[in-house]
Formats: sequence, C-alpha cells, structure tokens
Amino acid sequence: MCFALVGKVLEFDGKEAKVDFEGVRKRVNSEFIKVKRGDKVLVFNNFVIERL
Amino acid sequence: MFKVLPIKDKELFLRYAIPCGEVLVKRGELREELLKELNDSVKNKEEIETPIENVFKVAARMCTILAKQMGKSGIDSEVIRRYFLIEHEKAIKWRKQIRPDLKVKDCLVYPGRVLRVDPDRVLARTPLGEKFFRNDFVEGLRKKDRVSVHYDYISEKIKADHVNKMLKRGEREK
Repeated sequence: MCFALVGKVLEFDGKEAKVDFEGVRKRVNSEFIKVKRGDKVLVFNNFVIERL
Repeated sequence: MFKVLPIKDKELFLRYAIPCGEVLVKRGELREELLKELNDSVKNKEEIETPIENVFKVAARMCTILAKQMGKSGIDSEVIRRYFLIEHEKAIKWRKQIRPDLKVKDCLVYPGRVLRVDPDRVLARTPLGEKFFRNDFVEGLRKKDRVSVHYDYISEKIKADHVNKMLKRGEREK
C-alpha cells in the first residue's frame, strides 16, 4: 500500500492514460483524475490516484 | 482533484496502515512522531482527529476506488478488509511488475495462527514461518486464534473465510 509509482502521461483518451514509468509504458485507468500529455502522476494498482 | 470518501472505521484502517508507516517515514513522507501518535491513539482507543486520508494517501485513495466499485458512499470495514486482505496483494504485485527492485514479501498482509501470547508480543505461524509480532491493537488474543499480520504487527482477529480468501491469493498456510 505504502507508496505509489510516479509516471509521465504520454496519452489520455478520456478514461485511460498511457503512462511512462522510466521506460516501462503501461495503459492505466484515469477515470478518477483527468490528465493531459506531459502530466506527472501517481499511479497504483493501475489507477491514476494523483496529478503531481 | 481526487475526492477521497469518508473513512467510517478509522481504527480498523489504521490497524492495517500503521504497520507499514515506517516505510513512509524512511521515504520522508511521514513524521515518526505522528506515526507514534496514531499508533498510541489506536492502542488506547482514543478519538482519531488527524485527517488520516492525507497521511496514508495511497491506501485511502485505493479504498475510495474500491468503495465506489462496491457501490458504497464511504470506506467501511468491508471495504477496508477487502482492500488490505485481498486487493492490496494485487497492487503490490502490480508495482513489482514495473519496479522489480521493490520488495513484495514484507509488504503483504498474511493470515496467521496464534501459537503463544506473551505479555508484550505474540508468536504466530504464518506463510512466512513462525514469527513474533507486536500486539498493540488486539485484546484478548488466545492460542489458535486466526489473525491478520502486516509487517511486525497483528492487525486483527479474522474469520476462517477471510483466511481462505487470503490463501487463495497463492500462499499456503503451513
């Protein structure tokens, strides 16, 4: 639980975001927080939980 | 802005969150004094004034997502147990896929069986073997009680079906 991962948003389609985690790229659920390309975000268990 | 739902059972939430508070202290995300204050509040069954959703932000937000998926308006004991006993494991392993350097074993919540209760600690058998645990939070523990353990804490007494669900996550109870 303790800490989430920081990543950078590459794409966002309104519900899902493609996020880069220092070279590892993943599609994650971003329905709880609207993001845009270039945003730094906190992600845990495939959910964006904060925009930094 | 992420809106965290109200935590209806703060004590139970803290019983599971406090044990890995030291990780946040080491990362500079939590003051040692505040962690001790919260630990003592739960231990002494005091009212919890601190906005714990800001202290344990990740768990509070994950519980909010889970509560919404369960159709609830708050983070109650059912959500808390579902998160820490079941979903938390998936989350830690998700993190490991991306960051293989991060450890998993210690972060997980395990089922345990009480073997011996000493005045200041409890010996329990867990999937990681027999270990001693702090017993700050649970009163009246007895031999053979089923418990949930997180880091070096006993979080609470649990029922057999909780244990079975936890064990279906892939560990075997020795």
